[in-house]
Amino acid sequence: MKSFLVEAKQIGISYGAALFQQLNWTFRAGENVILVGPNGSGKTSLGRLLAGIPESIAKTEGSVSFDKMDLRHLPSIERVQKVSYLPSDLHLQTGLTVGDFLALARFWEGGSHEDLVVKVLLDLRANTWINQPICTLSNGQRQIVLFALALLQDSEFTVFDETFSYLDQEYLALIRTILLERSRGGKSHLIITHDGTWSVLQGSKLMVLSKGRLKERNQKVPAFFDLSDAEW
Amino acid sequence: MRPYRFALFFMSFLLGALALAMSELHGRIFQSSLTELQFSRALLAIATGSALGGAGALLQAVFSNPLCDPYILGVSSGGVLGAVIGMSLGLSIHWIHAGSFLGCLLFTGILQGLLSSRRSDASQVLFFGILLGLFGSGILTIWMAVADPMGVYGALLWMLGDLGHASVGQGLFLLMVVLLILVWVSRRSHELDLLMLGDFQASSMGLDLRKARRRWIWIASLLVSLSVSHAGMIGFVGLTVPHLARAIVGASHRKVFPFSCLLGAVLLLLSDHLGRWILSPVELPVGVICTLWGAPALIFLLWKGPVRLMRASMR
Repeated sequence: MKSFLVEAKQIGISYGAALFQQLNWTFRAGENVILVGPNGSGKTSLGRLLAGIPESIAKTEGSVSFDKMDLRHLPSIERVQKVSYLPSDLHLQTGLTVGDFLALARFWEGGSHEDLVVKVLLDLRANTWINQPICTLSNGQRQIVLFALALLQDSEFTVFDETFSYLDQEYLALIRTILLERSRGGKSHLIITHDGTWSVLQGSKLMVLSKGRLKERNQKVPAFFDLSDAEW
Repeated sequence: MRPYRFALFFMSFLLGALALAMSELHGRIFQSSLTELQFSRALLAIATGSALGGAGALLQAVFSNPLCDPYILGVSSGGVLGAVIGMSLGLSIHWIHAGSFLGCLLFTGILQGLLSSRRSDASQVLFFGILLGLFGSGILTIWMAVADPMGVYGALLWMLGDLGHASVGQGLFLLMVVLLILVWVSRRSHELDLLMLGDFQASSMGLDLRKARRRWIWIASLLVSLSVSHAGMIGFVGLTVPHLARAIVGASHRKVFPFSCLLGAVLLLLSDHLGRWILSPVELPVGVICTLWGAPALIFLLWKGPVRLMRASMR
């Protein structure tokens, strides 16, 4: 199994007021981490910072590195092969088909990667959508396309930011199985969610971000978190 | 589509202020007046139409904005300024073309300079371009206020677009350059698909936005410069042709880009014929013809449904 280390050192983000400061976090190969926290706690900002694509209006501090290489200094293509970020939805105004879109996953290699795209879509039981424009898909279907994109990009460390929020239980089970299989092969995943059922992911670590603090929580959690002040 | 395009190309010899019968065409095909006036005109229509259609498709993707046209970055204002300066100095038409091309390049350089000095998102770049265009128009207005009426008339004709000022050599050269650019663009069309997804999605998928945007703005500006410097500002084609192309071939730029070029060439050739034929022997500027028939046609297509802005393949 390939080993790597993603290290966030003294990272912080502020939009005028600081969202969080001086956080340190390390991800190792094969790790699955679930990140929860109340709305506005900075989960998305943290996820984007860890993936090397912080929001342009945010003021950031600290550094994120992959095997000691600062993500800010990596060429974009190299960065996405190591660390990638998947949002909760595809806000596309274009009529690109699922096949056209997924062919862009490894655009630097050239070609349409048709065989690979078909295989991934078959694995996700979505092969019949290949010629369908993305803007005609449902929210859940678009999230499955995003997951297919992640599989095709095959980055070492992937941040899923609410990428599975519209999926039914059957798809969630399938995706968890695929993620576990990938992590056995050395891939790491950070899953940002409000859905407590993600803690069932075998061997995963549960982290909570609230009021600028990041804390690991080991106890068994209910399906819906209570992140009220009392708990902290 | 291709046989029809060739038919239009040959029709361009027969129509216009100097109408020719088919029997005359064979005998006169190599005569200089025909060669200079009509063959070069057809070549220029194809080259300019391709450049404008391609530049429109390219810029709509680069800014992920269906309302972009080739003139939105203000580069064309530099071209018009260069041309009117050349006219004021009484230069020959070739030097006016050169002045217009240099004006376009100068404005492109200014825009690129603005982009290199700060981190710019798509809307900021567009805003820079629009402001640059307005600045150029302001200078042009001052010039028009003080210039003699004939000079103003010449400038107005330039702004409306005219295909009658190029030699065969220029037409061929322009067509060759445009074709080379089109081949280069076609090989990198995946970048246009990525840019069309918007800044965030393109960046998260590994595209170096800053470099890619600067590169594509250079290419679009070059296409616009070649077109404006030889044919003036021909409206409509660059804005609308990409939408028609997407409605026909889908949204992937592997197909949209070459098809926009082809469609642009056909539409401009057709408009030029109409402009020479409607009030013959008076010739109407091709830009006016494009807008007069093209705008209602597109409104109709949008209203009826087959064309949707930036959303294709919904059939």
